[in-house]
Amino acid sequence: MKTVEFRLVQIVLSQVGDDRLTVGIVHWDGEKIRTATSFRGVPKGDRRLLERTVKNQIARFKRAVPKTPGLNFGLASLVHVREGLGASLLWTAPNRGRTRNPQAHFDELVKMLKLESAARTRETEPGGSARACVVELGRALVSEAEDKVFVNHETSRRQTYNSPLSWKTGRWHHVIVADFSHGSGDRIDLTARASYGIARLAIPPEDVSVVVAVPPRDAELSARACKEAANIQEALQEDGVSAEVISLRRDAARKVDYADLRKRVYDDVTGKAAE
Amino acid sequence: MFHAVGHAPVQLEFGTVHRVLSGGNHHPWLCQLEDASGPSGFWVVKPQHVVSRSTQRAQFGVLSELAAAEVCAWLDVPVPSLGLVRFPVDAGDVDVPAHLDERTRQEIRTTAEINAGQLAFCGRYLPEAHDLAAAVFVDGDTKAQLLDVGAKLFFLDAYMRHDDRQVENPNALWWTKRIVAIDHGNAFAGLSDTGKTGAGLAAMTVLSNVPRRHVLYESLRDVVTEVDISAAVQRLQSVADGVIDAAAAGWPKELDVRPRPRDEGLKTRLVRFLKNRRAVVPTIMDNVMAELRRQK
Repeated sequence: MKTVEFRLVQIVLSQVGDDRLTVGIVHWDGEKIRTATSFRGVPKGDRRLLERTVKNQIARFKRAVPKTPGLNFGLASLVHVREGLGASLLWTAPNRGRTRNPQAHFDELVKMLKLESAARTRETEPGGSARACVVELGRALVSEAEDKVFVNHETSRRQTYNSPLSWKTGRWHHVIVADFSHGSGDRIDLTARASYGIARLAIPPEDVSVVVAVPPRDAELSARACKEAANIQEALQEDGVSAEVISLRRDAARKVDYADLRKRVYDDVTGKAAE
Repeated sequence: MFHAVGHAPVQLEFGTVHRVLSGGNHHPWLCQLEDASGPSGFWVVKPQHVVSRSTQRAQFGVLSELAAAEVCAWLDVPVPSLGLVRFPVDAGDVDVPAHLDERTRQEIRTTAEINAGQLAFCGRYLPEAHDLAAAVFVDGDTKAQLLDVGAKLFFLDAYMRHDDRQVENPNALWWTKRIVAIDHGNAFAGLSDTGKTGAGLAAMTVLSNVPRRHVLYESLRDVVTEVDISAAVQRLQSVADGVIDAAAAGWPKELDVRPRPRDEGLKTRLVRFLKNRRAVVPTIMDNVMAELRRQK
C-alpha cells in the first residue's frame, strides 16, 4: 500500500452559509502529481479570471515535483498554500490515505467530486474515432455502475497508457482498441503490434488486457484482421499475460457494432456473468 | 450497487477516511476502501463500537446487517452492496483527516482504538441519496415505488423484527427514483439477548406499536386498498434452506459468539430464526395488513 495525499481547492459561495464548490484537486503519491478541475457551477462574473488563478496555483504543484525520486516531505511542504477561510478561494488541509493504485484512487475522487482530470480531455491516443466511441460507451456504462467503470483511466507499468474504458470486478480490465478499420494490410500489422506492445508495456501484470478489435471496412482485409486479433491473444497468453480479445462486428449499414463489448462489460459489472 | 441474493460481502481494507456521517445515532464513516486489486470505491463503514451511542449489539450488529440485506434481496428490495473491513490492530494506522474539526478527529481516533482488530460492516455509499420522508409518494414513479418496494419493506421490517425505520430516523433513502433500505444494525430485535433462541423468537408475530412510527406507515395507509403483498409472501415462504445456508456461509465465523457458554451462537441463532420464520409468514402478513387497515 502506498500513502497518497490530496488537497481540494474550493470556491466559498457564502461565508455565512458555508456553501462551497470544489473546483480542483491536487493528488500526490510521493512521485507523481495528479490534478483535476471543473468550473461548472462557478458564478459567471469572474469565472475566467478565477479559472486562471486556480490553474496557475495548481501548476505550481506540478513544477514543484522533486527531480530526485524518494525525496518526499509531503504535499504540504511541496507547495505552500494559504489554508483556512479568508477570501473566496479555499484550500483544504491535506487528507491522507493508503492505496494499492494511486491512479485509481485519484480517478475515484475525481468522479465523486465531479471534476475533469487532464487525461479526460486527451482522447488522441491510438484508436482514433473508435477510441472515442469506446469512451462514449464507457460514459454510458458509468451511469449503470458508477463505482466499477472508468473512462480514460491511466495505467502504468514500464510506460503509461490512457485506457478508454476500464472496469473492475475483482480484477481490473483495461480496453486496448485495435482499430483495423483504416488502411492496408501493413497498417493492420502495425496496429496489432501497437496493441500487443501496450498490453506488455503499459498494463500492470495483475490486470487483464481486453483488446477490442475493430473490423476493417474492406471485407477482404477482415480475415487478416481476425488473424491478427487471434495472434495478439495467443502471443499474450504465451507470455503469461491475462488477456482477451473481443472482435467487434459491423452491422448491415457497415457501422461498427459495440454491442458485444457493452454486453461483456455490463454482465461483468452487474454480476450477470456469474449467475 | 445493490446486494444480490447469495453474494458474500466483499473483503475490504482501510484506504482513506473522509468524513464521519453524524446524522444518525451510529456515526458511521465515509471511506474510500481497498480490495485485493486496489481502490474499491466509497463505502459507509459501521464500526461495532461507537462513541455516539450505547449499544450492546457489537458483533450481532454486523450479523444483522448482513442477514437483513439478504432478506431484502429475496424480495428485490434494494440494499447497498455489502462489505467487511477489519480495523487495524494499531489504531494509529488509521489516517485521521486533517480537514475535520478537532472533536470529530478525536471521535475517529477513539473509535479506531475501541474497534482495533475488529470487523466492521460496510455498505456501498450512494452519492446524492436523500432521506425518505412520509407523505411524499403522490404520483408516478414515487407511488409505484411505494406500492412495490415500500409495501414490501414495511412487511419485511415486521418479518425481521426491525423497528428502526421511523419518521425521525428513516433509514431509507430515495436514490435514482427508487427506495433503498439501509442501516439494519437493529434488525432481529431480541435475538442477541442472553438465553434467547432463534426458533423461539421466530415464532413471535405480534406487532408492537412501532409500525405506527414507521416512515412508510401513513403513506401506505393512504393507498391501502392498492397494497398487495401476497406475491412477496409467497416468495418468502418458498426460500429454501439451502439459500439461507449459502448466505450464512459468507458471514464470518468469528461473529458466531455465544452470549453465555450454554447459549446458541449468534450466527447459528440467526440462521435458525430465518429458517423458522418462514412458517409464520402468513400470520405476519395478516397482522401487517390489519395494522394498515386500522381505523384512523
